[in-house]
Amino acid sequence: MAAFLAAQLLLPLTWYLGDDADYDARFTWRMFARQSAVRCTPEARGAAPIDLSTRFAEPWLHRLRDGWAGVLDQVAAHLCHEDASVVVTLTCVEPDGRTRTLERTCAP
Amino acid sequence: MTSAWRRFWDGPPESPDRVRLFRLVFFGLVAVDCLRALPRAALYGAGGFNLPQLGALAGWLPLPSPGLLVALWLFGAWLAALVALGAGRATAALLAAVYGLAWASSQIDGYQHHYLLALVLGVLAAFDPERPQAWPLRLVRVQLSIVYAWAVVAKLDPLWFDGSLLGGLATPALRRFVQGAAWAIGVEPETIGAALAVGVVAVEAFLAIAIHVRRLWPVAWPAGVALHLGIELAGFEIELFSAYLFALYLLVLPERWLVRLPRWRTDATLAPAGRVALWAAGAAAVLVVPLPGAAGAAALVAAWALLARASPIAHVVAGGLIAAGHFGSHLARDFHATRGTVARALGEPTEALAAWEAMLRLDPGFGAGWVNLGDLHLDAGRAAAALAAFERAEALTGVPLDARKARALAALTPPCRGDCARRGLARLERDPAGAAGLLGAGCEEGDPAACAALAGLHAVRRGVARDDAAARRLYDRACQAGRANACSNLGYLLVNGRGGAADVDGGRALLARGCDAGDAFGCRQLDRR
Repeated sequence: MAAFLAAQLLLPLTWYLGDDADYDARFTWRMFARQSAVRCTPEARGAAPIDLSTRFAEPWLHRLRDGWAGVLDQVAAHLCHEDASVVVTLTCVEPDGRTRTLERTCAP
Repeated sequence: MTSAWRRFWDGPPESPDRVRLFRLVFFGLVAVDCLRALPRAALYGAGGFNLPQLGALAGWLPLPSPGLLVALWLFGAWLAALVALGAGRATAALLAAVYGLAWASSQIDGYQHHYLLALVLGVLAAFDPERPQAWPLRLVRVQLSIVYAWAVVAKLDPLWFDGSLLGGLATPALRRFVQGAAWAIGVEPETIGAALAVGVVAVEAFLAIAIHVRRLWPVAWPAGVALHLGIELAGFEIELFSAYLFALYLLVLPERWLVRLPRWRTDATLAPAGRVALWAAGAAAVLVVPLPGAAGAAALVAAWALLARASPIAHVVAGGLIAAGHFGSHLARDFHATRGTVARALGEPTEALAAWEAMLRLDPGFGAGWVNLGDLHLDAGRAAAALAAFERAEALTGVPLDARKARALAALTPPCRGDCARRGLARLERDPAGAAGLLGAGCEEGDPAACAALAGLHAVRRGVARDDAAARRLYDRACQAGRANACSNLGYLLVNGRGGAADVDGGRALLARGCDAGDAFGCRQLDRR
């Protein structure tokens, strides 16, 4: 029981201490908070233009628009299987107007 | 310290009335939620992509499939219904495992309350309804406190307290409420927004503590219910989150307010043949859901009914709930609709066609489905099938689909080459929408009568969308080719400023040209002016 409670208290802390450009707050009980209002634009390019909406089902594009860095990693890894020159970027605008850009490339 | 810790968890046992009411409402809700999730199963594994909830497991777990999720959710719905009706710890533990597996399999499920539900089900798996000990339900209350406490921490943000964050997230219903309240009180809407934001934090902070203090329950229960009712009425897209919270608030309902449910028995004595017949009927009820994975779910249901010697009556009620869920809604149809939409977006037209045909076999009266099927046929060059689908959709919904039908007809025109105008004019009276495509092709082939006739359809919105600008262009083309009535009609449009700027002099000249060439309409229009 103590371990369960400790996990419940500490797990959200990892979000506050982690990468502040990751808006994935699944385990943190941050309902209706700042990251809910973040809007991101995902883009991908490789040897040829990549239309993400023809490669990934809508819920994944939704997660990208919400700024989930883990999904960005996995999307990049998935595309890198076919094209090693792929670059996936996520440009996010926070409610106070601050902009952050995440970029993923294929591992050498 | 240790004794205080023990006292907290080992306090007096929960009242049987509360336990029975909570189990019925909470697990009944889980059963309904599992059924509601079925259409979403179509998304799992689409495009060969997935990411489990624990990202570190990506690449280690097999790709989830729609069939697997359907099986898990159908089995979960049946297990939850059984627990709601009084099944014991083993069934509750299996439900926690099944629900947890479905939730953990993919980040497609991004709802935080599903994470909360997975945790609560895990805790409740330890609860023995025969000996209702205190700690599991107390732990559920603590979990609720943790949620509120972190929700407060998340809102310790200047943008929250000045109301701008809430304003940015506000739904139309919430905006209407804020504006109405501001008008009634005579303050700025921003003031109401900021007050609401502060109020939410205050209520959440109060609830985080008050749900553990029995003396405060007469205040905590209405405050919590009002908070979540407000969130629900604000129209946020949070699925059954509010309903789950209302169920959890049964754990905070003051003792004297508890509704005492009548006792029911699901352990009636039956002959072995009767038990087996009811088990078979319950499992068969799962099979009525025409989805991939339903057979797997039925097998799991039958196996667990035998293993756990489930109450035959509860088993049949649970099966009946699933059958009622299928016949009383469009779960299976919506599963195929979702599957078709995803397949089309991912460039898999064959899969999309199979999914949407299955969707329309289940619900032939689904107008929007026929539109989707028509679009798919059109993309694939099956113009006749597209036209038939659009006409079916029009008949079902009463909504004109002129533009789509015109595209389908345009795609049908190649066989009319050299003969389009004649075929279009022959069809004009009985089927103007059908004639439009043929007339368009005939006009392109240089037939002025086809141009004039199509212009007329656009001018009076007959079989096609009203488009005066197109009518002007087409009449002009026909007039240049010597059609007297086209000159008169173009003149009328110019004089009256339809489809572009008015040009009275130019229009009268065209009316005169039509009249001189023998068109009575042109002469009448000139006499009138």
